[in-house]
Amino acid sequence: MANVSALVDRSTAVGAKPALTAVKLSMGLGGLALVLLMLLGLCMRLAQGGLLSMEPELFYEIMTAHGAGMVGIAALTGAGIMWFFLARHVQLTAAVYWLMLCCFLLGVALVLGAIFVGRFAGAWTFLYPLPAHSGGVWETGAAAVFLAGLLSIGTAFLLFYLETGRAIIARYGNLSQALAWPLLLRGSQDDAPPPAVVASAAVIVFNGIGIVVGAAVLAISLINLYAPSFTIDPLLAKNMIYFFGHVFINATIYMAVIAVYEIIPEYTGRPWKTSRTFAAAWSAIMLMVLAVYPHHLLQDTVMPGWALAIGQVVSYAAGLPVIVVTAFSLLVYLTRSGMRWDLASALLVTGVFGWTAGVMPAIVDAVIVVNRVMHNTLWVPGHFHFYLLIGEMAMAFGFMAWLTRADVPEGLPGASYWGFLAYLIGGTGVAVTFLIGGAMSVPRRWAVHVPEWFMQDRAAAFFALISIIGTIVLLGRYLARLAAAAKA
Amino acid sequence: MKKSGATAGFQAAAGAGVIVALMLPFSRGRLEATLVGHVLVQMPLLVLAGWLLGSALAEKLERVMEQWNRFGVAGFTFAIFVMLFWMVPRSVDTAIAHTGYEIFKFAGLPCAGAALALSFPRTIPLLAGALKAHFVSMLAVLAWLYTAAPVRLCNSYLASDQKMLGAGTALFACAFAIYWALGPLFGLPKPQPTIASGAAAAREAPGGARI
Ligand code: HEM
Ligand SMILES: [Cu+2]
Repeated sequence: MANVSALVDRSTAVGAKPALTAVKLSMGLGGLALVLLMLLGLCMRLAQGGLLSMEPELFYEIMTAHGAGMVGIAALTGAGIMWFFLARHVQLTAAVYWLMLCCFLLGVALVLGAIFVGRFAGAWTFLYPLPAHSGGVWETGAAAVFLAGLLSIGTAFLLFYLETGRAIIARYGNLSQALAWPLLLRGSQDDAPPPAVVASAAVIVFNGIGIVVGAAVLAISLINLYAPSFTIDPLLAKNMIYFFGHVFINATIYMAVIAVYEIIPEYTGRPWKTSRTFAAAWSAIMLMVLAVYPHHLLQDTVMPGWALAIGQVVSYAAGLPVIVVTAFSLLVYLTRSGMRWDLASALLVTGVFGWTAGVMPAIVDAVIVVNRVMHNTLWVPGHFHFYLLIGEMAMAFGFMAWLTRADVPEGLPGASYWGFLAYLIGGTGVAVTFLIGGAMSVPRRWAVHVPEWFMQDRAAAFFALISIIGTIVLLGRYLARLAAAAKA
Repeated sequence: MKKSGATAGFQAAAGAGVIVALMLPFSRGRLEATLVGHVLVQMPLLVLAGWLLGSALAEKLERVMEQWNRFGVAGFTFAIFVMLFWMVPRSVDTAIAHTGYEIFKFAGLPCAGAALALSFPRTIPLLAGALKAHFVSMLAVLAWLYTAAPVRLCNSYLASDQKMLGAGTALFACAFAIYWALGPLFGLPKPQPTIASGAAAAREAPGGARI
């Protein structure tokens, strides 16, 4: 692997070292944790398929670890991407990234301790009143440690957004400039921000709001654990939790897609510019991400009708702008660009189309009539495994492949090709088998399945195995090249 | 950035005026008659008065702050403790019953406000932002706490007052969130001290490093 390091350390707009090591470390840690959690996912599928006997308590612990962990990985890898590319345009303080990583890892330790020592198994969504009413499965302390862990992870990302926001404001004056609003409103802007900055600014705004709401509901749940007489209105708690959860998990992809905007131009030779449409799409998303979460509450008949109507209508609309703008522009950039395919470009393009495809079943499910049938079936994990596995994580691996590319065109040789293919086929299989389960009305979050459902469970386990092999190949390549670069 | 003497004088006068106005038996009685008046009007006004006084004195205290209030850490710590004390319902209650507490309130809250005014301009944006975000979510939690409390928390106030306080606090949380969001969204560019540049500027120019 000649000259890997030369490309790994790319100069930035400001020349400062923007915590490159920390970003590389985040991606590596994220990849390792991903393999472990995919194995847990495989175990869950085997257990549901009757091939592995597992106590339901353990199943739910594993499901909690898998859910919380995967959301954390998606967020961390997304943040790594955003930080890396934002550093090309604004001056970031590396120390803050390290601080973020420390808070994050502390949170991970707390969450893991709560689950595997304290036996907490109330799912990553910590939906009230489950953490407080375990039926004797876990102690109050375990739930408290879990919530504290999530608070620590939230703090990590708060610091991350404060620093990236500060740096953007220092460079562009304020966030509305960075969102390209002058361009949007007047059709022109001196010093128009590049797509990476527009996307980052939008994510900072909506995820900042999401995190503040999340912190409040986490603190409320914590107090309630120890002072149960201070009750929480369950509907309010559900609103706040799903607001936070929806916004937070969506932010991961909106951060990761920055890799597409910044890397693809190196292949096509055509710069990805901030157009008026692009700015409009991101501003629209910024508002709509905040307004669509009621699609998680479509079966809560006590919700006001107008809120549910918004949830349904905005869900169609929210799925579209950024995806359409990104996927469409990508197609335009790709046509006749003579782009050479290698692992990085293949994964990034896959990411955009995996994201697009994954959102479709989500939109379908946000239709109230459909939701009446599909709510809480495996259809739901179907759509989010699609856009997390073939969308977000594919972009993350694309970024990792690009970080460690050699300085000569490599194409897509043997191992990379097979690793990529296994990841793509296995991952799609995992998502599609979930969707099939959903179409069969198999409920989600059931530790025990009836034999009629075993077929799709076992098919899913098979695909999971393939995707895990693919992941190990992609991760192994990344780690081996980093090691080689470190030695050189 | 030097402030003109006139501005400082005006701020000092306004700050002192607000405190005196709040001390008058008439306004004291009126405001302390309800929980909302006490906690959401009188106390914030005392902090605001302190803020004005603190800003007025900022120039004079530059030297001292330079040595004792790097990045506002000391000031924030002090202000947080004062506010924590007055967040406890029992303290609010006792202020009605005991003159000592009342005096402490009228002295302590303006000092907290002054500490904030002397600290925000010297701190780094990361800390300021974290404090603001934390403050908003704490207000939301407090709003819930007062609304959800199963018992009457204060001897001097009605349980229904608590619910109103909860609702009022929720409004406060929204107002602060919106107010603090407007600056980063639409504000004019300001020079920002970073850890490195802040320390350097502080070393070079006493009176510098202000946002
Ligand atoms: C080999 C790949 C994977 C397999 C086999 C797998 C398997 C599973 C299974 C069996 C469940 C529980 C489904 C149920 O409700 O019955 C689940 C839930 C979940 N998975 Fe995965 N998964 C994989 C990859 C991923 C990835 C890459 C992510 C995100 C980056 C992810 C995020 C989640 C989340 C957030 C949940 C929800 C947990 C909950 O309902 O509380 N998974 N997964
Ligand atoms: Cu959602």
